[in-house]
Amino acid sequence: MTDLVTVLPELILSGTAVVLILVARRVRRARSAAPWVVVAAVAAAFSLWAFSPATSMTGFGGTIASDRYARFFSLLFSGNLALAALLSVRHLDSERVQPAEYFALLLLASTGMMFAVAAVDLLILYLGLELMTLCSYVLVGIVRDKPAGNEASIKYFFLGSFASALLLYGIALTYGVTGATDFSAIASTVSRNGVTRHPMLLAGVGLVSGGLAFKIAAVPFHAWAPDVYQGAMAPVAAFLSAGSKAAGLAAFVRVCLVAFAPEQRIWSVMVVALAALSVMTGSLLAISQSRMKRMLAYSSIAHAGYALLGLVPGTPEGASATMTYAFVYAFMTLGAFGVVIALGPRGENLNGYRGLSTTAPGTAAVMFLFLLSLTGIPPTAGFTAKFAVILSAVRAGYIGLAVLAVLCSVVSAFFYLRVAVLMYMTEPQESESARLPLSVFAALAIAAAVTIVGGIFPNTLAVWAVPP
Amino acid sequence: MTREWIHPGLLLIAGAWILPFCKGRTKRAVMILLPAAALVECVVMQPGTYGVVRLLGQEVIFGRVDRLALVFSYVFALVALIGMVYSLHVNDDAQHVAALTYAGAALGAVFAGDFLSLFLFWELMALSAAILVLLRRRPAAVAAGFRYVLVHIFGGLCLLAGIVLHWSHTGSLRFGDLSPYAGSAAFTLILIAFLVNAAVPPLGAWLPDAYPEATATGAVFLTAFTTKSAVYALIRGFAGTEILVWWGAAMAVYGVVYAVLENDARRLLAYHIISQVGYMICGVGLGTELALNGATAHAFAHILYKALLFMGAGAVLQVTGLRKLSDMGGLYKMMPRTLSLYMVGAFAISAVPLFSGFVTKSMVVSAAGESHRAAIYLLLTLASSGTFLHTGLKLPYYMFFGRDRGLRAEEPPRNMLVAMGLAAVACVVIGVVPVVLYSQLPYRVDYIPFTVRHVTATLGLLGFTALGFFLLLKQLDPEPVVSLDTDWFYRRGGTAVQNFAQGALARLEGSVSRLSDVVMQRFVLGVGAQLRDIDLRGVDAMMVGIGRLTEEVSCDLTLAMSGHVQRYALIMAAGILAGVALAVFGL
Amino acid sequence: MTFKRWFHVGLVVFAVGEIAGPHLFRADHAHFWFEDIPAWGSIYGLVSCLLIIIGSKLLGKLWLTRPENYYDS
Repeated sequence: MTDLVTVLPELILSGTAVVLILVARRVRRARSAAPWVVVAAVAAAFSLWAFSPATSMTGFGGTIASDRYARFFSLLFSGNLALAALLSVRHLDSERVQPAEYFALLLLASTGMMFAVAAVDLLILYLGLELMTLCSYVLVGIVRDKPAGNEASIKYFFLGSFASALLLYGIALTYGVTGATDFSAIASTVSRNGVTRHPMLLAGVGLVSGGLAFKIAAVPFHAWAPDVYQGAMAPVAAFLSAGSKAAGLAAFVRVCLVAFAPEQRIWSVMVVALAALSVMTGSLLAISQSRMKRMLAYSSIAHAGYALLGLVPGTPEGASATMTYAFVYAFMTLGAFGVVIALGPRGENLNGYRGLSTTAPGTAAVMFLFLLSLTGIPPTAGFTAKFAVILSAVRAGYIGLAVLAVLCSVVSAFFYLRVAVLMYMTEPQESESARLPLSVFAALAIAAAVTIVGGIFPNTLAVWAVPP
Repeated sequence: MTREWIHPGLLLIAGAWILPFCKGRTKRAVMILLPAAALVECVVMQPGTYGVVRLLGQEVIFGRVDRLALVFSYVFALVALIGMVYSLHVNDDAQHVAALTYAGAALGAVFAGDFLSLFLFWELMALSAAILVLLRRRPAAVAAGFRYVLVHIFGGLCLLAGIVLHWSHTGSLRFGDLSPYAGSAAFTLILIAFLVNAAVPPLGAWLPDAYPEATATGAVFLTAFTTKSAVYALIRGFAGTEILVWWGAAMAVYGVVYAVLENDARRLLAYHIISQVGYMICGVGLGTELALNGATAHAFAHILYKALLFMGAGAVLQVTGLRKLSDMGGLYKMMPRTLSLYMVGAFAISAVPLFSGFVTKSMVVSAAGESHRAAIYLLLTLASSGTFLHTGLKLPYYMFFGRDRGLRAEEPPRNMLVAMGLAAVACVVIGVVPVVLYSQLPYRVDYIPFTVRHVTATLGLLGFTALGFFLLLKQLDPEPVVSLDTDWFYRRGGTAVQNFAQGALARLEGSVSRLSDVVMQRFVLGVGAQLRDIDLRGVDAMMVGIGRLTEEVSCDLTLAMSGHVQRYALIMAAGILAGVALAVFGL
Repeated sequence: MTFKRWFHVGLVVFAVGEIAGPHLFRADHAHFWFEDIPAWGSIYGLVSCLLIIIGSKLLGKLWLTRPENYYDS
């Protein structure tokens, strides 16, 4: 019985998904289903409080741990789900997508994310990630008559299966050497038997890292991100960008810090390489983009790199910085995509932002806030998060990496602020500005609030972000 | 002593947001009351430490109040008040909010006791100043404002990097004297960041680029805060750094040299900012009590008289719409009050006795003298002559006198004249009764400016500079040209090379033909050709400029994202193999 | 006409004042040897002014100046 309590949030979400599937026929419009999804998300978040904060419980034979780490990310995923649901309403009606199945898939994907984060066993981790990814494949291509969506979905499926295969192969190799799939058992076996240099184990570490890096969209496993974000519906892109990345980062941190703790020298170097390549490639490629979603996709690759900087020293403070970065980034990107959604088809291209300050001053101001946060300018949450991760890289002695990160921030300032200049300092092209639907407004307000509060009170997040 | 302490900067930044909600007379009253309240707050403030917040395990100090911070705060608040009076007639709320935020952020930077709050206000200053430039809403201003943002983001990130390195080495974020860490990377990075804001060449091309593009009223604020808060930061952290002595002296001459070539009135004044800040930086470098007092006093006086000069040029811009000297002339009949108030500023900057520059600039020059540095002394005095040449002679001559072009003009609105009058009064008061300023300086002042030798030498210097001016009057006729500065590197792409080469060739022929002697001709041709070759090759090598290079790299990389799944999978496979190989064999 | 005359008178007064001043009144010590040259300020003022004008104009003509629309693309 206590086992079920440890997965209470996941139960709530999957239960709602099942109910939605059962009544799918009855649900005609997105507006009727969305509030239920939001309620479910909030309920899941509240259920996290059912556990007393200090203790951590394990369940299902010690494979699921409901500790502060998992609760931090589950809170994030609930928020992600709620905001994505709010942002989807308008799109679902215009693209004539069946709302019930869409929301069910969102709920199940979030469930998968929560499982992945709570997992302390490699196989459960794999299960959670697969649940998330399978639902994502369908979500990306959910608009059946859009060729771009279909193409994106198929690409994601192929590459994602490849990555999952790598992950599974790595798990198998690890099991072969250590005889266990439980994180702490792996770590203790490796250090006890002194097999830290066993080639199969090292290969396993490399493969697992590669498979997880795919979820984060780190270079060189990033190539799916731009095409998928561009082809999918904007709310789906937002959901993936925030949730899949956070889930991948959370899993990566837990696996590296707990399971492969004796191998720190090895995965530390790989994380450095991933981070450096991602930051550079993402920032450089984003400069020449003229389509907003693609630009945000490349920038998300760069942000994955920044987040990984916190993992480099392998200390709890660094992991905490990565956690904070994932949290803050999720809300920033939901906000940025939210503005893209709010503008409709006009928001797809950079040119559509011309003169936005005159036609829609509120939206322009909110977008400016998110752009500042993405660049990392105080007093936004993006700055505190970036400061923390760069500081942890410096503490680990990787000064060059920190300098690279700062340089790429300068580069990123160009393409983020280019949008701001277009919004504020050019003449508008069309004067039509439809009113913001209430759901989108609410989502933008929540994201903006988190961005501002995180910047002014950075300690709030830092205190909650407890590493595994 | 736990009196309630309100940060005067916060007063301005937060109070500015009341403005959009007021109208008419209330709005004007608020515009004047806010900086006045900040000034009063600064004057009654007692030295101490206020506003301490614990953040990320460090102490963040928002209110480090000592003599140095106080004297800078007085002048910042005062010029904010003067600037607001000057802009009473402007109907653009955004400009007022931006200007007050800018002033408030400068006050924040002055009172910052640790690096984190300093960085916060540094970035806020850069942002609000850039917005102030952009608010002119003309294409040239938008472009200049964007360049301003990029240069200052670069400076801000240097500062951040330096702060982080400093923190990791020392574990402390306190903003104090950094000379124990001289030579370290953190020291250099922070120094570079401060020098960017101080507009030190070669990092300072943003100043003459952006300041003339702002509005007439916005430019008054711009001249006061960014560079002087950088000077404050340098006095606080880098006093006695030897390299600054030479750099400052070179800067003083550099500004003057470029000013000779300038045709735009406010751009010429902008180059003079660089020149005067050179004096201050030289003083920081010298490091003695007299030198640091001199740098502080000179900053104080400079803010006031530079604001006055920009207000004068801005008034001409406002009334006639002209900014280029080659277009102006004959205005003295129609704008006598503007002219006389402007001349007060010109005399102040030229260090005419009984005006503020005389009692402040001489402190720095005397400090150079007391340290027995003849070359610095001579360079600074040369720059003094140049300063009088431009601001005291060339500008007023071509703006107000010179050829009468039949321009129609009138005196500017009354609030502008009142503001100019306030600044002029301050310049004269400081010049006549220097103890008013001397008593506020951080160190005890033993210096007496009114010595016989000093007064007579200054009068002689100025008088004979004027003689030189009139002798070479023809040479100084302003031409409609722009001069190249270090911002060429980020403004021009490959197409500039063509123009440059052709232009250089044309100019070479012109200079050669002027010398009739055959031997001279051959000599000059030879030297000129060498220079041109070096220029071309050097320019070729840097042809693309850093921005273009990055853009091209980006376009090339984008081509690699072909859209074919099999290519993507290949990249992934290559990555995995590399990773596994690295893991298994590499370590 | 009168302006020119007054100007020349002023120049003479400054130069004479500079030469005579340190002798008539109690003068403070000079930092450098060149400060003791009679009418030092006047001479250096003229020299500086000419140097700056000629030097800068030369620098401009040979290298630095461009037509007004150079940066407009």
